Amino acid sequence: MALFFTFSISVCAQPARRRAEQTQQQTRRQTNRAGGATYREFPAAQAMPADADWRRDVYRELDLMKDENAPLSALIFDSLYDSYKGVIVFVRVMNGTVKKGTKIKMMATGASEEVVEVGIFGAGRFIPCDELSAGMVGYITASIKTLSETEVGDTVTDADNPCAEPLPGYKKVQPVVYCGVYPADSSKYEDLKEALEKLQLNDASLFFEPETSLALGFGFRCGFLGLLHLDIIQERLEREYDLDLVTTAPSVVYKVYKTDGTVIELTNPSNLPDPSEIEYMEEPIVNAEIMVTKDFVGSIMELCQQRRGRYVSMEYIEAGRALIKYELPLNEIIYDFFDALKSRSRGYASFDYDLKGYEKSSLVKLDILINKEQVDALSFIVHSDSAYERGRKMCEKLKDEIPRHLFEIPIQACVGGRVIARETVKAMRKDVLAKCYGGDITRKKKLLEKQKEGKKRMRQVGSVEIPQSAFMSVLKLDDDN
Amino acid sequence: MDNNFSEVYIHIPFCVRKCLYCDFLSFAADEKAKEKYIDALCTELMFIGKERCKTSLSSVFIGGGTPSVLPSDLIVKAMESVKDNFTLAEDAEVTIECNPGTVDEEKLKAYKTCGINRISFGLQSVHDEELKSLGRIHTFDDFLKSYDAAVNAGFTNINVDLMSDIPGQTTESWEKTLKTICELKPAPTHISAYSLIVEEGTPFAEMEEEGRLDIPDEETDREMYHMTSKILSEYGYGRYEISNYAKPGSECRHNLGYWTGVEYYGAGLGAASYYGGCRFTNTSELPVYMDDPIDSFKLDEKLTLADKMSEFMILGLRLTKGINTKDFTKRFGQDVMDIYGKQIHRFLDEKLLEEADAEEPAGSKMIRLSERGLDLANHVMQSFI
Repeated sequence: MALFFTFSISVCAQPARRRAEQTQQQTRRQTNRAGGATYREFPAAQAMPADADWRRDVYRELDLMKDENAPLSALIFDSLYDSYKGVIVFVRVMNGTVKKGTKIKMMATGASEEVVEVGIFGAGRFIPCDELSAGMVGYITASIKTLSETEVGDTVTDADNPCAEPLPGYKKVQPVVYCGVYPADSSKYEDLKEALEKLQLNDASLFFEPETSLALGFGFRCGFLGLLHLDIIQERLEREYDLDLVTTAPSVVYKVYKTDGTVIELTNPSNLPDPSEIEYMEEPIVNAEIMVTKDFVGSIMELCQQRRGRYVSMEYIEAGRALIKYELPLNEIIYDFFDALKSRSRGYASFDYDLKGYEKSSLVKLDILINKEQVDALSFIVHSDSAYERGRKMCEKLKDEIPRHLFEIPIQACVGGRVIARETVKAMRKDVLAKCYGGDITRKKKLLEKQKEGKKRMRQVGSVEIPQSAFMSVLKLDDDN
Repeated sequence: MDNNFSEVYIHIPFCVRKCLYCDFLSFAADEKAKEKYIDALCTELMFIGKERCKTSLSSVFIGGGTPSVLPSDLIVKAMESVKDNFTLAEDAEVTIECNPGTVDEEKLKAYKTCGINRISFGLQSVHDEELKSLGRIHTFDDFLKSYDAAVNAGFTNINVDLMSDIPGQTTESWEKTLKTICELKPAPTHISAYSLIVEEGTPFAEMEEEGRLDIPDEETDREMYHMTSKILSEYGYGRYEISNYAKPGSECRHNLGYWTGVEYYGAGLGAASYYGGCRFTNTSELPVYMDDPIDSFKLDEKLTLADKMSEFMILGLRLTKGINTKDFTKRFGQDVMDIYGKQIHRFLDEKLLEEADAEEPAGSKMIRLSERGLDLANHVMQSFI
């Protein structure tokens, strides 16, 4: 409803020339209606019911526009990519009017285009209209092809008559969890890039920058608000964009204080400077609140304790339900904390956290060597106390994941060049189909095809082929499950 | 369609009981069903026979299931149908699979009379407890009786199937199995020695999943495998395929056909055919087949030139003599090295393949799997897909 009023207000709030134009349009609209236009028209003022009149008057009193001729400013709150129309920008018009033919400009990116269509949102569809004016929520298409030109939070203004200052937009959020995202098939790098750009269109909190890994090739280091966000983005990339992904172990942002006095915010473990250059490191800590039925309090506290948690408080919010508060290092909860929590509480525990700040901590980088070659995508930063445990588990996991080769493959976990755990993948001895007669040929061929397909999906590190599942499997190391 | 297959396979999907490792199409059935099945089979053979097959057959193979569970008159009927509708070459190899304990001399004589000249016994092991663990219904003693009966009925070309990697088997028991069979009087002309494959959907697969399947470990398996060719060669059996051994000249011609790209027709429930560059399979649903034995097949794949080349390699490499480079050129008009040079060189370097001079034609080369390559055949073959 509010849309109509702002519209009628704009009729009155425009200078004479525009008013003339609009009267003209109104006449045209009426003719249209007579001709049986298919889309729903806004009712003309005289057709409004009484209570609408009343509302209109209220809005008029509100004086939505301080400046009658305010230059256009509209806030982009979302956008969508359409193969025919290009980027469809969702805006709320704060000041001024935008209509077909208006030359618009994105204030942050500087992109300038001519508007092709404006409209409002109907139930599940777009309804074109003549113009969007202050107060209205609607969409603009302007044959914008590059997605990066329309950032959520940016201000759309009139290129010929720009507003003085952009709207404050939205608060930029800082990613908390980072991980490497690589296309399973390295030729899909461009597709991945495009998909990430499209996702970023309506998710400004998604951060990504190109990165290369020796093991995984070209990909992106992506920043997420948290684990759920990471999961959702990954899932959307796979489902909506039909991409096969390999993700590296998620990492938090560490602060590395170097001996020369500088501080690095470390998002990728591979970039950790030489230990001799590091004064100390800090890791992010979260305030965690876990709600759980009383039967599981013991095992949940045990879990938090294992994860280097610092007990804060526990209260019973009702008989049988407790709220446990802990301070936990973020890097302890990004792997499999949630899974462990659920399995220890038979699914009853719920968990929430927010960032508390950074604390000094004894951290080391754990490297994985496969057949004596370091696999950068498997390196991660871990507390020195749990390095041995985690290294051992990773080696065990990788041993199961890496298929046998014609030669023996040692898998080693190292901290600062010192091997702390080792497993061996034995050499392949037998890989043969005993029988292959007339009726078996098609089936056995399919089997070989599958084997070949499997090989294609492997990553070559030195002379060893590592399946993608190996990179993923090390994310789930808890043996509770 | 011009069908010039030279081999016919006949599938008999009946068994007394299904073995625990078996993923072939077979089940138990009553006499009436068996009779009706043979009628349907004869209809199929008649349709596909003389009218459509212009060449003479070099081999017929009656497999299963257990063909020998059928009363002998039904087998005779099927054979008569083959002879009525096809031209059988003078020296055609005609094999029937028999399970020990399901045949007697009378039955075997009937087979002999109707033109069958080769018997294949599914024995697997000479140890009754191993036979039991496989879910076989016969004992070694049953086999000896059936074997003698076959010899008495006049069969000279006999194959025995043996299996390694059986639950509970040791290298010693396998050695005993091999030697006992080689020392039979008269000795079989052909031995198929497989290692057990746990196929999806079989009771063994389920048992393996649950960790109840106690099969020998990999070391033992390899030891048995290498023992097989050593022992059998001492007794004069040459290995000519991954799992097949024969006295000189007694190689199974029918199976050689599969590995060298010969066109064949498979009749009966679920049987596979290859002719006109296409692979077909008959329906596996008994009622569907009985209803229309002629038109219940489906096309599995139409082979492209690339498919044919790849099959030439992966099937040909199953043979210990390997593939002849001139044969490849003759069949496809291209040099094998132009097509698969990269793979071949890689595996020659890794010593999984080896090269040898062919006996004929002069100047041609054989490319074959090495001793180690035979163990890792899939690893090599998948690169030719």
